[in-house]
Amino acid sequence: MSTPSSPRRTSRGFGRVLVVVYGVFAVSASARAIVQISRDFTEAPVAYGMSAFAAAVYVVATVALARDARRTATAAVLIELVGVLVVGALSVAAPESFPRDTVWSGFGRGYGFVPLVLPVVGLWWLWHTRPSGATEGVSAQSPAPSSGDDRGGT
Amino acid sequence: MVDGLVVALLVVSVLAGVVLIVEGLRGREPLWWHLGVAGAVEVVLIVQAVVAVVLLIQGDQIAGSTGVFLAYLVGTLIALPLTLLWGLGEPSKWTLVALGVACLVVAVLVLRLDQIWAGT
Repeated sequence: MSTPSSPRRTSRGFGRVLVVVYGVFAVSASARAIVQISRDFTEAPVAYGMSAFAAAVYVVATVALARDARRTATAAVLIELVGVLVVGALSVAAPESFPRDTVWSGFGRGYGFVPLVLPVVGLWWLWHTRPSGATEGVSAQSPAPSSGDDRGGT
Repeated sequence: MVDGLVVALLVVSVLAGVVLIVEGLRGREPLWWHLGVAGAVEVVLIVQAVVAVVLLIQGDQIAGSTGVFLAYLVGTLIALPLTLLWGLGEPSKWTLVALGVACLVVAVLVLRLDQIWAGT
């Protein structure tokens, strides 16, 4: 029946859901950072600073996805992916460098690992809604001339 | 907090979340009864907020931080209206999925509220 109508805007279709999830994280990460920093920033400046940074990244990603600012959204989501991987790895390998939890500690364990999955979904969505570019048409299943679709290209 | 109310809220919000997500993924467009389902959750949330504030005024002590508790309380109240507003910007099956996800988020917030109240 009705095909996904190939939405080209990041805020449309499934993007409606994605923005809600990003919004939830933008709000909760911001609130967490504000509480942590207002209590005692010097207690764990690196962890609390990272909390604030993560919050800012989520806010930017939410607004960019909602307003179809593709480049900004891509940058924010990439930073988010690097952040959750680096902070996640550090918090596991060297817990003393992150004495207080951030959203990204333990790869987002405290948030059901959603922070780990979210950037992957975000990148997929940005790719899925990418402008059709040089190829004409927006046909959902433009058949590739070569066999197979695993040619290593992005 | 009031245990019965917390359990009722968890049941209602998770149920509503699952129903709305399933309806959305089945390709349904938003109907009035869908909004009614989300509205029912919101009503119970308002009841919870009123009860919590009354208990606080009567002198009940929160084990955790009062500021954090109130922040979560406000979060539970605005989550569904904001999602509905955003979702109806483009009414589609995804509006229902978004609303369903918000209901599940509300369930998590309620759990956290209860934990902050009890200090666990």
